[in-house]
This record gives sequence, structure tokens and C-alpha cells, in this order.
Amino acid sequence: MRDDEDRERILAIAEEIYSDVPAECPPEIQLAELLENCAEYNLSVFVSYFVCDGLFGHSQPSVLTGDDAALFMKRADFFLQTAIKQRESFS
Amino acid sequence: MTDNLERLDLTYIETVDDPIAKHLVSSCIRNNFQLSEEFGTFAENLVILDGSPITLASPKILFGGRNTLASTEFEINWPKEVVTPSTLFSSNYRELAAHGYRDCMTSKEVVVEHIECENSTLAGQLPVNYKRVLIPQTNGLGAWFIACYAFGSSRARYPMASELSVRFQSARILENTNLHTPY
Repeated sequence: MRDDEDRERILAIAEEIYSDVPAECPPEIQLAELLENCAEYNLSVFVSYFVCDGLFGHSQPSVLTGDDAALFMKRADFFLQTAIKQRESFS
Repeated sequence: MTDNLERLDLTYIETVDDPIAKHLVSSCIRNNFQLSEEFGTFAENLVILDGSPITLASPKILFGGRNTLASTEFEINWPKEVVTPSTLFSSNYRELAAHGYRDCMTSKEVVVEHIECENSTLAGQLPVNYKRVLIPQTNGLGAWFIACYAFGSSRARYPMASELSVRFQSARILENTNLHTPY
């Protein structure tokens, strides 16, 4: 009985590891990564003062959760992608 | 009104009665057009466009603030997504506007101009007559953006829908029911 449970558990983990579908990253981690990338590209002013303040009336995107975080990420990503594209087109 | 574009000298800003324009321009020049927290305080008054040389004929609008002239006077509700100007503005208007974007990004200097356009939007005839300041902004890592601050509109002031509603309500309150003493 115990062996069967272990086997199923191991199979489920293996399936997840070898699946083509990437595991969904929690929004909080996605948000943290986006903010980190924006900071790396010196875009924190845009995403904090323009996007976050424009949407939610404050300039602290790191406190956003759930749907708010998702909406913020969608809009903030415009700035990040624009900066990335411009850098790529010049390099 | 005819479609017209007039380039103004930067010193024009000193003569206008618009503290935001003055403060914004001096702040950006002082910060050498680098994105700064001070610049962030002007967010609601600005439209931010992609400054990539490839798209300067009609740069994408990345952000439109709540207190921009477009929002408060021309009744444009900035969508929550990147705006492709051809979906919102007329070709005449985009052609006029493009000169400023090109010059701003080529010179990496502030551009001040006066724009008059009979029909600015696709949605309907919307005559505009205003001044604007275009300011280059960079992240310091090769990416450039254009900040646009519009002011000094002298458009014929048609009542906005919200004002009409208030006026209509006031009119009803004052409605004269006495036929013997007409207004």
C-alpha cells in the first residue's frame, strides 16, 4: 500500500518535471521579477509613478496582489518591452 | 481653422502662465533628460510615447495621464493598453504631430510647438488648437521615450457631456411653470 502511494507520488512529480507545460509561477514572484527587470532597465519611475499610481493611486507596486498585480504587470511590461526592443535595435 | 504647425522657441515657456510647463521643462533639463523621481510627479499631466527612431512617424502611446489636455478637454479616455495612434487620431493630425517627435528625438532637446488641426481624431471632427512641449527622456541604457505636455488650448469650448447633464438638471429646477410671468 505504502509503495503504491509512493509510486504514484513519484510518477506525478516526474510528469510535472517532464511536462511541456511550464508550471504557473505565482503572481507575487512574477511581480517581483518584473520589478527587478524594470529596476535593471532604470524604468522604476515609469512603472511606479506612471503605471502604479495611475491605476491604483499609489506608487508602491510591490504591495500589489491578485488581479491588481496582474493588471499592473500587463501595463508595466509595455515599458519594459519598449526599452528591451530599443536596446536590441541599437546593439 | 486650418491645419498648422508652428515651432516655438524654448523661451516661450518662460512667458506662459502655466507653472507645470515651466517646472517640468526646467526639471528635465536640470536632470539631463534622465528619468528621475521628480519627473514621476508630473505623471498625470503627461503622455508618454515610444521614442524608438523606427516608429517616430507615429510613435506608440505607452501612457496617458488623467490630467492631460486630451483627457480633460478633448475627452479622450486613454485605453489601458498601448495605443497605436492610427486607431485614435486622423492622418492629418498624425502627420502634423510627427515633425515634433522626429525633431525631439533627433536633437534630444525640448521641442515647443503650436498645433492647429481641424479634424484631429478618427471618431469625429475634433478641432484642436493648443501648445505642447515634447521632452526626451532616457533610462540611461539606450532607450528613449518622449514625454508630451499639452497646454494653452484655445479650442472652441463646447460643453462636455457631464456639464450638459448638470445644466439640464439646473434648467429643470429653474423651469418656469408660471405662464403669466414668462422669463
